Amino acid sequence: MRITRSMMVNNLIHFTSKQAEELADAQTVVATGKQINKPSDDPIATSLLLSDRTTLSQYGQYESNIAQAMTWIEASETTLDSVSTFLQEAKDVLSSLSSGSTSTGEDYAKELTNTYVQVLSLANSRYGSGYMYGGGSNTQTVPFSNTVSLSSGTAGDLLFDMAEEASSLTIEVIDDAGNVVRTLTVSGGTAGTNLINWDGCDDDGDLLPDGQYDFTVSASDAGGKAVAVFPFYRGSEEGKTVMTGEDTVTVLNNDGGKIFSEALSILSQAITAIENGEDKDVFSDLTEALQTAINRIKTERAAQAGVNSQLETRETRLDALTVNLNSRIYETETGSTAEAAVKLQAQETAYEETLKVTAEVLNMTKLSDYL
Amino acid sequence: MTTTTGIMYSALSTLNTYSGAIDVASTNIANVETTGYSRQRAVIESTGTSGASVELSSIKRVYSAFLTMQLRSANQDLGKWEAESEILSGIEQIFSDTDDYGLSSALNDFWNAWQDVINDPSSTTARSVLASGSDNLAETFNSTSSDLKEIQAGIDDAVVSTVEEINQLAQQIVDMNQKISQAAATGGRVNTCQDSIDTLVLSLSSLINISTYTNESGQVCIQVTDGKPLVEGTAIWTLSAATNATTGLRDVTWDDGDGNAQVISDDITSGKLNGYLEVRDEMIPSCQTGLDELAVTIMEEVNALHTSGYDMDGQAGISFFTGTGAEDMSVNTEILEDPGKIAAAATADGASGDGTNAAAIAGLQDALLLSSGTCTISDYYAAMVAKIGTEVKSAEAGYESASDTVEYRKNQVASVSGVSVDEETAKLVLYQSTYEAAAKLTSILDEMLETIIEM
Repeated sequence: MRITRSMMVNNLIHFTSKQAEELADAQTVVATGKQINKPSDDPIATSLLLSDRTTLSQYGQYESNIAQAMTWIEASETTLDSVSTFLQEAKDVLSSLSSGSTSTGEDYAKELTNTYVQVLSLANSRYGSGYMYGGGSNTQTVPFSNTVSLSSGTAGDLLFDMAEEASSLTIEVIDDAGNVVRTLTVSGGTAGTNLINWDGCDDDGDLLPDGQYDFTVSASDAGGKAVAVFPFYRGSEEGKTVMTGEDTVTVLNNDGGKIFSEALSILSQAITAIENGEDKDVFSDLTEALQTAINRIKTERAAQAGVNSQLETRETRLDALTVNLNSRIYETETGSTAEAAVKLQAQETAYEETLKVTAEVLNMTKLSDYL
Repeated sequence: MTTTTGIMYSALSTLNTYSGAIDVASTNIANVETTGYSRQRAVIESTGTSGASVELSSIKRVYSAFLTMQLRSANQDLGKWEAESEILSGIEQIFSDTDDYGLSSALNDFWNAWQDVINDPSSTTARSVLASGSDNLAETFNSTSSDLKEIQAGIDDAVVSTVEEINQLAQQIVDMNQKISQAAATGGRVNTCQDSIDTLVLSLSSLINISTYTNESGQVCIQVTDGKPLVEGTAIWTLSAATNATTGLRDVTWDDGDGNAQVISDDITSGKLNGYLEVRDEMIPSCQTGLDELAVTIMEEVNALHTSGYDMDGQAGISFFTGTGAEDMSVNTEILEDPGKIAAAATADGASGDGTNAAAIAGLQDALLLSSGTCTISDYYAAMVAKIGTEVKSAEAGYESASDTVEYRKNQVASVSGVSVDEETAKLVLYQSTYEAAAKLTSILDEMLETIIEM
C-alpha cells in the first residue's frame, strides 16, 4: 500500500481523538465514582438499578409505616395502662362494697363516677388527626358520646346503651349553649343498644338549627329503680391496618367498643347500684364482672405486645434487606474503584503514547532533507 | 539521416516536456494538503517514428472509481449513525433517572404518599403531600413527553435544512458538470473539476442514499433512493420537505419535474436523513407510546378505584387524574384545591377516617398491570429505559464502526490518489536531471554548429 504523509497524520488525528474519548469516559467513571452514568453505559444494569431503587423506596415506606404503627402501640399501651389502674381502683371500691363496708355510699359513688369519667375520657383519647379507639375506618367520630347531629333539617337517631330493660326513659336534648331544648319521654327500652327517633324540633315543635346536639338519658324500670345508661360505641369494628410489606397488612386493634364498652357498662351499673341502694350480693357480682373487663384489657395489651414484636421482627428484616439492596446498588453502580483507577491509568498511558507517535511522525525527515 | 537540426528539435522537445512534468510535480506538491485533491501524473510519450522527440501527451488524474464508490457507501452509513447517536443521546438524557429525579422516583413518591394516607387517613398533611406528589408525577409525565416532542420538532427542522443542503449540493454538482462540458469543448483540463465533484458527492452521500455514474461526456449523474434522478448532466431535480397532514411532520418528497411531488421518506435507507427519520418516526413515537401506556394505565387504574371510594365528606370519589395521555395528564384540580376530596375511604360511613380505598390504590404499585399482566408499572418503565439505553448503545457502536470504516476507506482512496511529497521530490530530481541533460545537449549542439560554421 502506498502511504503518504497526510495519511499518517490523518490516522493519528483519528486515533488521538478516539483515545481522548476513551480517556474522557474513564475519567468520568473515576470522577463520578459511578460506572453507570447513563442508560447506554449498561442498559441491563440500569433497569436493575431502577427496580432496586423502587424496591428500596418501598422498604423505606414500609419502615416508616412500621415506625408509625409502633408509635401508636406505645401510645395505646400507655393509655390502656392508665385504664387498667383506674379499673383496678374501681374494683377495690366494689370489693369493699361487696364485703358490706361501712363507708357511706355517696363517697363511693363519687369515686366511681370519677373513675367512669376518666376511663371515658381515655377511651375518647385523640391520636394524630383522629381518635385512638375509633376503629379502623372511623377515627373522626368521638367513639363514646351521647351526641346527635342535625343536618339539613334532618336529625340522626339518638343512640345509647342500657344495662337492663327499662320501662320509662327521659331524654333531654341539649344545644351547644348548654340549654335543654327538647325533652322526650319514651316508655320502654331494651337492654343493649337503643335507638330513639328525634324529629329535630324543640319542645314547641319548631325545627332547630343544624349542628351537633348532646343528649342525656335517664331510665328507670317498673319498680322505679334507676337503670344504668352508657354511651353507644360509634366507631367501627375492624382494626387499623398498616402496610408492612408487599401484600402484608398488619392490623392494630383499635376497636374501642370491644376494649371499653364492657368496663363502661359495669362502672355505670355500679354507680346506679349505689344510687339504688342495692345490697352487697349485687356488688359482689359487679366485682366479678369488672374483673372480666380488666382481663379483657389485659388480653388486649398482650395482643398489642405481640403485634409490636412482630413489627420489630419485620423492621429488623427490612433493615437487613435494605442494607443488602444498598450494597447491591452500590456494587452495580460504582463497580470496583480500583479497576476504574487502573483503567484510567491505562487510558492515560495509551493517550500519551499516541501523542508521542504523533509528534514523531510530524518531525519525520523528508527526502528533500537529504538532497 | 540524422541532421543537427533534428537533434536540436529533439533536445527542445525534451526541455519542453520536462518543464511541463516539473510543473505537474510542483502542482502536486502545492496541493499536498488540499482536501479531495487527486494527484496528477505526467504522461510522457515519444513522438515520431524514430522516437527522437518526446511530448507530455496528457496529465492523468490518479484515481480509483471503485474505492471512491466504497468510501461513499461507508459515508452513507456514517451519516445515519452519526445523526442517530447524536439525537438518541439527547433522548437518553431525558430518561437518565437519578436517585431523586425522574419518572421513576416520582412514581415511588406517588405510591409512598398513598401509604402515608393509609397510616392517617384523616390527616390533611398526608393528603396534601399525596396531592402534590401526584401533581409532581403528572408534571414529570408532561415534561418527559414534551421534551420528546421538542426533540422530535428539532429533528423535523433538521430534515428541512438537510433537504435544503441536498438541493444546494446538487446545484453545485450541476455547476461543475457545466464546467466539465465547457472544458471538454475547449479541450481544457477537467481534473480539478472532477476532484470538486467527488468532494461534493462525498458530502451528499453522508446525507442520503445515492447511486452515481459518469455519462459519456464525463459528467457525473446522481440518483437518490431507489433511482430517482437528482442530477443528470446539467439537468437537476429537487427534493422538498412537505408537511404531512396526518402526522404534522415533514415528508421528504421528490419533484418529478412536472410539478408532481412524490413522497420518498420510506425509500431513504441511509445517510443523515435516514437517521433523522428513523428516530423521528420510529424511536420517539415508540417512547411516546410507552409513556402514554404508563400514564393511561396509572390514570385508569387509579381513577377506577378512586371513583369507587368516598372522600372525607362521604361523597363518592371523583376522577383522581384527568387527561388522555402522558402529555396532558394532570391531577383533578378539585383535588389539588381540596385534598379532602381524595377518596381514601371504601365506605361512605367511615369516610373521614377510613384508608381502605387508599390501601387498594397503593396496592397498584405491585400489581401486574402491563404487558398483558406480566409486569408492574415500575418494571415497565425500567424496561423502557433499558430499551432506550440499548438503542443508544447500538447507535454508538454503529457510529464507532462506521467512522472506522470511513477512515479506512479514506486511507485506501488516499493511498491511490494522495500526494506523497517524497515521491514528488524524487520525480522532481529525475525531471530536473533530464532537463539538465537536454540543456547540456543543446549547448553541445551549439558548439557543434559553431564548429561547422568555422569550417
